[in-house]
Amino acid sequence: MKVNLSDFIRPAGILAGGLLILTGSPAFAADPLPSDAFPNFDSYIKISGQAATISGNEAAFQKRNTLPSNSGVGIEDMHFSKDLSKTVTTVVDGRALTGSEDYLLSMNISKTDVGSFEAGYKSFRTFYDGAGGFFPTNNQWLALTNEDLHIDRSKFWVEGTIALPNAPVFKLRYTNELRDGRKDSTIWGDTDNTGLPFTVAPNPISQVRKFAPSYLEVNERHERLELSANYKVKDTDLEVVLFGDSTDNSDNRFVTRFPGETIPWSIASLSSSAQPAAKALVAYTNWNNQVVIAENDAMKTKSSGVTLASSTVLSSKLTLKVSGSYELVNTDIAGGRPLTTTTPTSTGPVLVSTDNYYGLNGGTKVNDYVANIALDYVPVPSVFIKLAYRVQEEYINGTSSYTVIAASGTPAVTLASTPRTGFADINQTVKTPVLELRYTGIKDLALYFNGSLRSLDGDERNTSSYNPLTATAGTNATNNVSEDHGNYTLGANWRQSGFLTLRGEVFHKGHKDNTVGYAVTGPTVGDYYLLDSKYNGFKVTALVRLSDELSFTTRFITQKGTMQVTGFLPTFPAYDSLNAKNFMISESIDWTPTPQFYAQLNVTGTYQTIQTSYPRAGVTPATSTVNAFNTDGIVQNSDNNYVTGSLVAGFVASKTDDVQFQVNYYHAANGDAYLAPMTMPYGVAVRDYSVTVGVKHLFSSTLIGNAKVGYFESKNDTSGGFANYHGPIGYVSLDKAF
Amino acid sequence: MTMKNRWSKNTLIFGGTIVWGLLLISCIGVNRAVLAPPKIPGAHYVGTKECAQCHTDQTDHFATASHARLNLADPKVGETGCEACHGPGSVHVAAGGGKGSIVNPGKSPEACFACHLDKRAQFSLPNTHQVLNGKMSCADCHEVHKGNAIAGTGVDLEGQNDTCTKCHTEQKGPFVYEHGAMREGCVACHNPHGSINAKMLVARDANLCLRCHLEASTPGSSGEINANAIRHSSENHNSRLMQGTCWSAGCHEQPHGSNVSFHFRN
Repeated sequence: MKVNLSDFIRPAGILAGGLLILTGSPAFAADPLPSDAFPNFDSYIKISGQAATISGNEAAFQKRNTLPSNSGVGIEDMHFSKDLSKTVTTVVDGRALTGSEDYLLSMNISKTDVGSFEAGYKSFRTFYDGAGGFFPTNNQWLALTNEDLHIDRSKFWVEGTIALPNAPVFKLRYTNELRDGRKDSTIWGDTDNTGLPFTVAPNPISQVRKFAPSYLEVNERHERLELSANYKVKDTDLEVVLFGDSTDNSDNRFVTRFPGETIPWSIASLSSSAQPAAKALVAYTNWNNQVVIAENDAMKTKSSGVTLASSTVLSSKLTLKVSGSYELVNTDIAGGRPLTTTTPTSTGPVLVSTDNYYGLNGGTKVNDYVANIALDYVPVPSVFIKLAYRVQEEYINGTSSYTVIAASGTPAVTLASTPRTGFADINQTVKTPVLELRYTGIKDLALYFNGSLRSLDGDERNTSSYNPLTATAGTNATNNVSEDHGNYTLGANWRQSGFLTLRGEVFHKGHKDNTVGYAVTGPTVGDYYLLDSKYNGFKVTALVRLSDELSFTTRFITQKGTMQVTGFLPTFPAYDSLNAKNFMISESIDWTPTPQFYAQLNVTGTYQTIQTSYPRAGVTPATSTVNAFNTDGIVQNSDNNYVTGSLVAGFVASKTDDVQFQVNYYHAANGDAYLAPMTMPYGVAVRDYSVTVGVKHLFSSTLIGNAKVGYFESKNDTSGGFANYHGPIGYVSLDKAF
Repeated sequence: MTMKNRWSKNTLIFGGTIVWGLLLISCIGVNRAVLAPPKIPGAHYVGTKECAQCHTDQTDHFATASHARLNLADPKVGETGCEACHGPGSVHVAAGGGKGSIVNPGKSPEACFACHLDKRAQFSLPNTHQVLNGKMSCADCHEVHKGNAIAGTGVDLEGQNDTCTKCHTEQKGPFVYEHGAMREGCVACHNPHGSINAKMLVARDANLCLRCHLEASTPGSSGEINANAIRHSSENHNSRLMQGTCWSAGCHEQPHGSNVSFHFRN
């Protein structure tokens, strides 16, 4: 599909022209909303239950719709607000839903001119489907043995505020957040079960594809204690914040490579570059190719710091803001990455000879200083000018050490340990000047400009991990890092009349990398990629109110981006590495032909493609061991085109009944299964929709019931249909006012 | 596999007749209103001065907010400030405050979607944050009432990534080997509003990395995908990219940063 900008400009021009013809239309008065609609309760409890009968992949349903695939019941929402006296108010919120495991209980009590106290706990669940890839050649779909994947996020907080008249406002807040559970990962494992022939030279097409699903076991805690004080001295607002923050994370990633495979050669020979010719037949007891990775990444951080901020009104036209912060971060790391085979050797499972380690320890220390100053200048009421400057100094140094195991023998029974270590030091300064302008001197027109240039300069020194018993350093990278990031926006908002408002904005984002190496042995940038990028685009929004009953909102966004990468200077010149295009048009129509009916239609179409250099790589010439082949098939453009739509309509069915109808639709057609023999993954092709119909019944002025039935369906070609689902869902609720 | 549409012409005719029939009956038979949520029955506009009576924390600094440049007059809602997003406030004012009498964008994103139509679409994609079901709100990441709407940009004391890492602490680090892409920001690789790709990635395949990591061919090997060519190495990654993404098992598994390998290989 080839799309030119002119394809969009032409209809946009016609649209804009048509709208301008209608200029001069009268403004519409904003009428009060009808008062005889169903009421919104201020203090209430809402009890609900839902049940679904889903056929197909229930986990995919749960992930897509954030609903349990079976049933759930409980308190969907509860809010209680009461003035206990003329000066004391209490607010209680609650929620307790099984199935979606969604819980909340919070309480706030406040007294005028004294302060407030608040405490609460909340938790909610995110579902995952554990899907890996799908290989169409042999209709291969690998599933996790346990697809019950979800992450629960929970948070406890307590906060006290003392706000006495003519005195500083003190606030003490403690939060404790947990993140527990299991979620899928896009780090997919390898498999030979692809239906492709095993690679035999000079065939360049690998039979291995990495689409075996994997998952993460997450166990994370984040605590923060914060004490702040705010006080106003004459025309100056002052704020001081002291904080302590800690995290304790221990996550485990489980990946199975070549799951369940048995192949008739030894594990040791798999690492041979000469396979399969060198693969020797071994006994049946060694027929196994499966490798299990159980990687543990653990990190504890402790940080503390202070923030100071002031805002001084120098005059009616000038406000000066100055602030600064300091933070010290220390981390301790731990973990390991044993890779074990399931080969039934006489010594049991053995470690794979490469890419494993254990006993990781070390840590990182960060000293971070930030200061900013800003001047808000309003020379006349219609002009706002902001001049600001930010500077940040950051010092980071980290070390790590661990032990790797090398296994040898057939089957591998001899293990040799080798210590490894590495380090990195980064010192960098980031300076950011900012200019903001806003002009509203023309009736119904606002003009604005925002510009910032973030410049980063520093030194970066690191070494690859090395054996400290045999070497003093690994591969060094010593660089003078220099980057500029510019962000510029110019926009206007024009309220032509009550009939039409137009908003437009052009933007530019640019990145320039001037990093050079200055190692003694000559310039080196190590693994540094010298990157220049430019993104340009514009947004246009038109709000058209044809009448009190009908309005249209149109939003069109386009963005184009290019990048250039420069390699080892000056040997390699700059290469074009990216050509990205994004066009997005959205339409929203609100229609209320009578007070007894409303409808809102939302439709969005997106055309987005990311092209890197590789589809233009051409044919890889033959070598002594590999046939020539077209490299273009390996990496295709990444297309992210999709269409979404929704329709919500409601009408009055009787004096005590409202009906609501809702449709949601999503379609992405970017999957090219024919590419599978050359690449993985190869796209996204999904179509799903849901339809619900509900009735709200007013039992009394303090009790509203709601019943809905719906049907959900998803067809997912990306997963070969293995993630399809469909089925009905029912929902009832009672909403009772206190 | 091909997708078959289960909706037929008869389905649409039958369903449409029922819907329009009910609508006609309701319009003729009932003289009562229905409102699209989250509107407040009986409310009318009162102006920002009324809001400032109680909500000075929000109104005092609004001139510095990104949204101030919008000159918030809106043909949908009339000439108003706060009420452009919070809806008409007369009921709220008359009640002396209260939850049920005012539109709270922190509870429902509909107020934001009225202008940010594209975000409604992105949040309805399969991979997104839980905003549509109310577990998160736009205000969790965006500062609406003062300063930059995109928190952590400009001269804010906090960095842009702090918006993400306050929840995603595992990706914050600091790591012994930092990935330079983190200087570009989390949004260089993820679209936090939603994506058709898993983990809200802006690309599902190796293009994600290849945008920056151009592996130029060494002279005389036209067409090769040579990882490390920039470092004067010549390891050909053709077969590896054939197998999966750059961050697949056994490869560069730690794209956020590593404590073990400066190739993020672990």
